[in-house]
Amino acid sequence: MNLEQLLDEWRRDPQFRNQVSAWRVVPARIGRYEDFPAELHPELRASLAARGIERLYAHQREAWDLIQAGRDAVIATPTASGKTLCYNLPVLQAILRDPSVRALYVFPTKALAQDQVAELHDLVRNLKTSVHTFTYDGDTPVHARQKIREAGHIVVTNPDMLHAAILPHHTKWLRLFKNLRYVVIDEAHIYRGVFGSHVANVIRRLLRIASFYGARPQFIFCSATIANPGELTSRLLGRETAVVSESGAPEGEKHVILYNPPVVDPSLGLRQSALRAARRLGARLLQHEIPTILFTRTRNQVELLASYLRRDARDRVRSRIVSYRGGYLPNERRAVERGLREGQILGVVSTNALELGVDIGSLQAAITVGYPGSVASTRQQMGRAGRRKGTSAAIFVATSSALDQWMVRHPEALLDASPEAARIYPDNLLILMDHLKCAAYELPFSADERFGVETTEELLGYLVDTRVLHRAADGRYFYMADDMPAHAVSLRSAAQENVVIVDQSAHPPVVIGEMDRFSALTMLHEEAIYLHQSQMYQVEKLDLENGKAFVRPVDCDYYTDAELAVHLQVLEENQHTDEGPLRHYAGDLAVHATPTLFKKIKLETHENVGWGKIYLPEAELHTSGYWVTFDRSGWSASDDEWEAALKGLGHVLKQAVALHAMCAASDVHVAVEVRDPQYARPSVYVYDAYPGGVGIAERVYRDRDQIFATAFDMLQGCPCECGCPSCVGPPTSGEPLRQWVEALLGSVAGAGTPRGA
Amino acid sequence: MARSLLDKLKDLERTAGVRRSSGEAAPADEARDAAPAAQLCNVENHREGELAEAGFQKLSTPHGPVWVRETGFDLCTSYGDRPFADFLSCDFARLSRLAKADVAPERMMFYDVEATGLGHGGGTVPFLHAVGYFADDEFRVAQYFVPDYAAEAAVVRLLADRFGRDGSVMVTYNGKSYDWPLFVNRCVLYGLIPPEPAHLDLLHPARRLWKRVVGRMKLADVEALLGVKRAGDLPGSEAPLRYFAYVQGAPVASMEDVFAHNLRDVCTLARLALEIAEALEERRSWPHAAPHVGLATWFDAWREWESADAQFRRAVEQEDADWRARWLFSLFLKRRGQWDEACEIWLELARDFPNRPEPLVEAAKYFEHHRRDLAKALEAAQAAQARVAEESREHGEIARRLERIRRKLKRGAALPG
Repeated sequence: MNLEQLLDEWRRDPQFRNQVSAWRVVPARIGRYEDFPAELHPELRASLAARGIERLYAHQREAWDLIQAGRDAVIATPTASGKTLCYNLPVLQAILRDPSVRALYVFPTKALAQDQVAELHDLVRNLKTSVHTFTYDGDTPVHARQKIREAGHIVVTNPDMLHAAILPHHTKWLRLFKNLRYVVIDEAHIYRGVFGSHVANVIRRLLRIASFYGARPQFIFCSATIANPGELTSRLLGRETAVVSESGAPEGEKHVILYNPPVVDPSLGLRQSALRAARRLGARLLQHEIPTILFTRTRNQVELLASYLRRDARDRVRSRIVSYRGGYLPNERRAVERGLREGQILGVVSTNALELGVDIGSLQAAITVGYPGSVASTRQQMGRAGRRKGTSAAIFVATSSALDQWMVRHPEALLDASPEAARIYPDNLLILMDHLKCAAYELPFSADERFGVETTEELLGYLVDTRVLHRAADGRYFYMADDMPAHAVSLRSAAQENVVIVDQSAHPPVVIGEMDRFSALTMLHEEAIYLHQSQMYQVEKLDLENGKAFVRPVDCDYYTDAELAVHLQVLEENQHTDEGPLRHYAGDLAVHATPTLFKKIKLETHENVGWGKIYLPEAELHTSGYWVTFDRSGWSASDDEWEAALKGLGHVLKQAVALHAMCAASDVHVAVEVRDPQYARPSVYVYDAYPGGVGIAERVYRDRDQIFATAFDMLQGCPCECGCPSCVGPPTSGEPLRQWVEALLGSVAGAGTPRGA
Repeated sequence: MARSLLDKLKDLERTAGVRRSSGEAAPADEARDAAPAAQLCNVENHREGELAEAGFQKLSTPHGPVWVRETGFDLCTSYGDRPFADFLSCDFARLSRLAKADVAPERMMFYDVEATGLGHGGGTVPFLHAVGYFADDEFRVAQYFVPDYAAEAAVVRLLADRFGRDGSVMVTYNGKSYDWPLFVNRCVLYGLIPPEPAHLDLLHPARRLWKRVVGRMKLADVEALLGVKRAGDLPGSEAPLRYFAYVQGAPVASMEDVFAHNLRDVCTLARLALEIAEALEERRSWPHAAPHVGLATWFDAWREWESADAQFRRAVEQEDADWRARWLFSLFLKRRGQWDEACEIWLELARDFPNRPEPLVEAAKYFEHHRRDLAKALEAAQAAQARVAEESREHGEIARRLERIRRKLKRGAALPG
């Protein structure tokens, strides 16, 4: 049975159909082609011909024309549409015309870099002229580095190496910077949030150095489908980018199915687990030897599902089902990738590690088990199934979480709505200051130089005051410390001083994660239960001074919930709405928080089974926030009821914010006041977890109507009676918490008529 | 309610626990007093006067003033346990061979810098360059000081010209990985093509000679061998901090320790070059094996067999002659065809180092192929085999050797006579 026949069977099977909340068929599309551009170098023409390429897809030609016209461009066409050719062609063309030309390729991870180099080598092998491509990363042997600096036409690296190794040592890369014509930034959608904000500053530094050597490189970005590729890359680069988003590649017919597992206990509204449903569907596909990829959310689920599928499979197929996730050794991963490309491997279960552009060819079916956290990410996973010819299928299997259930009830959000926008906030003061120091180390700042912001001069003055910089007699600012600032700045850490989580039971002890200091107060206090990949750990010691939390795996039936006495102080109101029963604000906050005690809460029943005190100092966080105040008279209830309702509202709001702002729920914190000291009204605060803010709160203020509507909708779709952990949180003593929150939400402007209802 | 950008920044850095590096200060609460331009000018004049008082001379160059202080040492002056005059009587033939350049006192430039950090990125600035050289019956040290970051370009240009002179030989200590790349960085930053003088980095020969004797190889560790005593010397890591203080207004006197430290470093460089040249000319000896082994291996590579032989013999005579000295000597003898003597050493080594199979293997080869004494070859090979683990590669090799010797023995027994 082939995929078409299997889909046909499913379509006719009422049991299957009952669980399907949407079944879309995207019709096949023929390719749109364009001739090679007349100016294409004969050697390139020949090399392409040797690979069977006689013309370009329309979008490849479009990219070519834009780039030849000198534009910075972003190519945001779907997976497997031939994006790499869009940048390889102009780069190779330039090198063939002038061998002194240099290009820099930046990939977010080492694995991706290796993949793209392999593809580039294929193209270069058939050229008569020799073009040298080298990877420069942490694995590059020291003796090879000199040669790469001198002889590499194309240097392939990652943002971290660029930041800490290449830019601070730019004098050794003289040849690269002097002749830098193109900078290619692949997987640009990865550069969002704090990481993206750092990378935008790394690009500012790169541009500064290139300009010192008299080069003005053109930038070519590639991105997965996100709502705002042009906006994101323009922010990353600080210059306008032209967007190429219409793919000319042919596509076979594609079925997209949203599957909600059947209800197994109608009284509790309990559904079959998504993993079990995925096992059933995956087993069917693999039984018919249909190449399939399954995505799960955690590493543990990867192993579990892979072992289920192997157990279900016939002998002949069993050995062709593998798992793939972070934590595997590079050569293991390479072997899986090759096996997938070449067809020896039939089924793979993976975390989102394979979502990135790792080349595994195209599979016939993809199953996403549980919403991976963003629409863009879901689409990426679904895009793993799809072929130039023939049918493919992508199946989304919902879990019972409020967010997943909301998704299956709103298929248009997953299938039609534009995917989330990726945001960055390069001017976060702390991030900016970090890079200002790095930049000053690389080259002195001239008196009137601007680094991203208009206030550059003020900031440089501040660094002079703190004796990081010295203002020389000629007015230039020089770095003045005996260290290298880039070594103290990590592009990937969420905050400057994170607490690392150390598992003491391992020999030697291993770091299993990290967390910002502020969250550590409630999540990593002594005796806290910390969940990591479905394993429970108990915190034995929190050493805030050295930023370490020591944990040990435990097997227990409760989790902990810490109470935080939060005192909020509004430092500045930047925006607010008019007076009324509700008032919305955006601005700067100082958050003072002291953890007081924690409760032990039993897993299944949520009953309180004990408590303890927490002895930790007060923490202070300065950040940007959004807040809303309510008219007390709009809902007559006691203080306690108000407090419970506000907290419940905060709980569901956090998830809605995560959905809209394309961030993790842990990127924002929520706090409530029944009698706000500043406004004397009940209020809910949502603020960025990162010091200085990364623009999430501003966005919440702007999109508050949509966010409240989504929150309301999530609440209405939740199968629980009066509140549960996946919506407003569990009620403490059977009060109608959910109804209270609904009442509150109903009063918020724009939330009265939930969309899609 | 509006907060200033700087207030915001101060609060943020405080609450986020931003780490400060060594020289960094917490932000001051009061605003800086902006010095009026006229006052700045006076400060400039005052500082120039100070520099002149400290013995610095202002050279005018097309790219701005350069501050230099020349210190001359009469050739009779002793530094460490030798006068500079000994340079004139030294033969530099072998040092030239090592440097792959024509080394002579008048061509050497002893170069050492003090910089704002140990990194070698674009922001590490050498603020003091010292060049030692022989001229007019003196050993002279020119110290080029960068009194302000803005004054650096002129210094770098002047030095680039100086280093670019034909036949110059740059002599440094660890300069191949530190001082010179730093200087090249500066050239690149000022758009100059870096000169390419011959470069002799004394760290490498010094390491070969004395690493086993002194352990650590910082210049100060080597000085003890040269009779150089430093008292009250500034720790090297202190230099950047002194400079940062100076550019922010501390008196030039506070830099004096740095100037002195730098001056002594260059003198030590010269003294060290002499020591290595004389060692290569076989005019030195040490109560240690390692330096002699070091010399012998150079001579061996240069095919100066007699000298190599002599140095090896001196090495193994020393009380601390270890396995390495004796073993390398035996292999040298073997290569030179002096088998009998080599074999003597192997048998001694086999006795003194009861766990090492190598000398017995060599002895077995010697008895089998040269002396054709199969009985002794068998004995040596068996003893060797007893010293290696059964699963090892060596064990297999020795087993094959044993088998062949036994076969030969059998054949020999079958033959008449």
